[in-house]
Amino acid sequence: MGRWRRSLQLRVVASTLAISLTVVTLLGLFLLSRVTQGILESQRRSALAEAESGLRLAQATLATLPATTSVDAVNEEIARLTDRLDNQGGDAGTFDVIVLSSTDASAFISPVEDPSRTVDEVPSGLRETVVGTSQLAFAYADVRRRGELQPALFVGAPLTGSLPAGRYELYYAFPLGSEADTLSLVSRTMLGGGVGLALLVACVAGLVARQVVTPVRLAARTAERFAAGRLETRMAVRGEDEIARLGEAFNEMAASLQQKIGQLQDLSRLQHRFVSDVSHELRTPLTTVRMAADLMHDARADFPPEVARSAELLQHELNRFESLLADLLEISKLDAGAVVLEAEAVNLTVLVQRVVAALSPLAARRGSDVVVRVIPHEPVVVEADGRRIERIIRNLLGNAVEHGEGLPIEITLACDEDAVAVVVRDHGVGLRPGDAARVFSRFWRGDPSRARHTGGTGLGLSIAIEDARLHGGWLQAWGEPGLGSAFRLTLPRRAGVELRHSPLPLEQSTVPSG
Amino acid sequence: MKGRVLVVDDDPALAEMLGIVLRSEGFEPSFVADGERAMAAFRQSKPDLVLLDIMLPGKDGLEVCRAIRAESGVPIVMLTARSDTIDVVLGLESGADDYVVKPFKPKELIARVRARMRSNAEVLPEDLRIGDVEIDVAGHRVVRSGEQIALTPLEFDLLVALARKPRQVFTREVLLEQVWGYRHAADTRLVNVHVQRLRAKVEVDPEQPEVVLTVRGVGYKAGPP
Repeated sequence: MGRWRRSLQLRVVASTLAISLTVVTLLGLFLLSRVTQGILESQRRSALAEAESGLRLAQATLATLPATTSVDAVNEEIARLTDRLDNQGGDAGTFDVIVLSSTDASAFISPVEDPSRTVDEVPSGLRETVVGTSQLAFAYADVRRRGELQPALFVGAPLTGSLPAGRYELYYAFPLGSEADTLSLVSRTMLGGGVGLALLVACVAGLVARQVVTPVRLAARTAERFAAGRLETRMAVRGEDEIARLGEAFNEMAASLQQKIGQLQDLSRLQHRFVSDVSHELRTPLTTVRMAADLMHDARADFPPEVARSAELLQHELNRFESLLADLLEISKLDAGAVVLEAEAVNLTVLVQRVVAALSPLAARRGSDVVVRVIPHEPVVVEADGRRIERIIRNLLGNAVEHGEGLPIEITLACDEDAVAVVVRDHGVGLRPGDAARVFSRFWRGDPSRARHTGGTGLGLSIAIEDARLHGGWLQAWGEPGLGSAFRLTLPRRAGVELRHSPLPLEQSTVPSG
Repeated sequence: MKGRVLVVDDDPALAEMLGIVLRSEGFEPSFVADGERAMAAFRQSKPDLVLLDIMLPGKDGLEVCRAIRAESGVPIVMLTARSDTIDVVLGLESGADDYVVKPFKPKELIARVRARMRSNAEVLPEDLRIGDVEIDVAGHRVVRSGEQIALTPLEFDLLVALARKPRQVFTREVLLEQVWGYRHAADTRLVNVHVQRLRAKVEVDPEQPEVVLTVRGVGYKAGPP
C-alpha cells in the first residue's frame, strides 16, 4: 500500500491497464456479437433457401403419389425422398432431413436407420409453430451428432397434400458446429489480442511514465541532498524539455539559496569575529583596571573613608561588568551559531547537588532552605555538556534564591527512558500573568521597583534557554503572584533525540516540606 | 624564592600594571613590548619565568613561545583574551605551561606565577625509574639508555609525580592539583596537552606509550618500572 502511494509509475501503469482492459472488453463484446449475427444471418438465409427447394421437391414428389397408396408405401416413398434430400447438400453445407408425422406425434418417419435419433430432437416450439401456421419456420437448438452436443438451426414446414397416412412435417437440421468453431476461434483470438493490446498499452504507459518519473525522482533525490545541507548539489540538465526546465529552475534556486546561505554564514562568521575582537580589545584595558582596582581595594584601609568606599564600589561594579561582558559574549556566540554541543555522560544528581552546595550559603543568608528531591533512586545520567547544564541550574537556583522571599526552595529531579527533568520551585513573589514567557527575554526585569540583591546581568535566563535549546531541551516557566514560580528544564537523555514529553509536571501543587 | 619575570606584552598600561603587581609581590620584572625583540630581551634578562601575551604585534605570541621553548625550559605562562578551545590548545601546544584568561585578578596571576616558580625549589636526592627511563629528581635529569632527555620543569614535575606512585592511576584533576597547583577543578586540557608533549620526548614510540600510560575514562599512570 505504501508502495502504491509512493510510486507514480505504478499508479499510471495500473490505471492505464484498468482503462484499456475495460475498453478492449467492451469493444470485443460488441465485435463478437456483430460477427456472430453476421455468420448466423447468412447461414440462416442459405438454410431457408435449401429448405424451401427441398420442400418444393418433396411436395412435387408426394403429389405424384395416387391417393390410394398405402401408409407403408407412403412411408417408404418418404424415406427415399429423405435420402435424396439428405444427399443433395449445397451452399448451406451438410444437413439432416427429418420427416415427422403430424397425426402420430411420437412417430418418427424418416430416416429410420439411426436408432439414436428420436422425435425429441426437433424442438417442440418449432413443431407447434409449423403445425399451427402451416408455414416455413426456423429455430435454434442443440443437436447430438456422433456423441457430441452441438448447436444447430432447425427449419421446418408441413408437407401438404391429401395422403391416407395423414399429415407430415419436413424438418432440416443444419448443424452449426463449424460456425461455432469459427466463432470460438474469433472470440479466443479477440480475447488474446485484447489482453495483449491492454498489456502493450500498459507497458507503453509504464515506459512513458518512467521517462517522466525518472527525472522527477532524480530531482527529488537532488532536493533531498540539498536539504540535507550539501549546498553544492545540482541537477543534471539535458535537452530543452519540461524536465530540463525543472532542472534549470531548481539549479537557479539552489544557486541563489547557496549564495544567500553563504552570505549569512559569512555574516555570522564576521559577527562572531567582530565580537571576539571587541572582547579581546575590551579585555586588555579591563584587566589593567581590574588589577588597579584590586590593588586599591586591598589597600583601602589606608584611605580616607570616602575613597575606601569608592574602591569597594569600584571592585563590586567591576565584578558586575565582567560578568555582563562574559554573558554578552556568550549570547553573541550562541547567536552566531558558533557554539557546538560537546556532550558527554553527566550525572545530573551529582551536578545538582554540587550547585546546591555552592549556593546554599547564599540561600541561607536570605533565609531559604534548599531541598533536593530525587525521584528515581539510581543516579540520573544524561548525555549533555556538563558546564552548560551546571550554568542553567545555577542560574535557576540563583533566581529562586533572589525571588524566593526566604521561603523554602525545592529542586526535583526525575527521569524516564527518554528524558530527564529538573524543576526548581520557589514560593516567593511568583510571576504575573504573561510573565512566564517574558522571563526569557534579554534584560527583562520582573519588577523594576524591587531591590536587587545578587545583581544578575539580566541575561542569565536568555543564556539558559539558549543552552537548553542547544541540547534539544526545553526550559519553561510557571508562576502565580504570591504563590511562587517554577522553572522546568527538560533534556533528552541522549543528545540529538527529539523531546516529546517531560517526566515532571511544570506546575507543582506540593506544599513546602520542612 | 623570588625571581625574575619577563613580561612580553604590547599594552603599556597593562605591562606597567603587571610590573606594579609583580614588584609588590617581590618579583623583578623586565619588559618587552613586541615579538621581534622578545628573544633578544629573553637572552639578555635570563628570566625565571615568562609572562607572554598571545596577541602581539610583529611576531605572534605563539611563535615567541616556540622560539623560547626551542632554547629553554623556562616556565611560560600565557595571557589570553580568549578561552576558546583552539586558542588555548594552540598556546599549550606551542610550549606554554599554563595560561590565565583576561581579565584576571592580581591574586590569580600571582598564584599561577608562584606555582610555576615553586617547581624550581630544592628537593631531596631521589632516584626513580619507569621502564628504561631513569629520573634523578635532585639533579633534574632524565636519562633513557644513557642519553639525557631535556624536559621542561613542568614536564619533569609531571613525570616525577607519576613515577613516585607507580601503581596509582592519577585523574586529570589530581594532576592539575599536584603539578599545576590548582586548588579547584580547572581546565583538564592542560594535562592532555602536556602529557602529549612529555610523551613526544620520553617515549620510544609516542603512538604506543610505555612510560605514561592512558587509563581510559580515568586518567594516566606510570608504566611498569
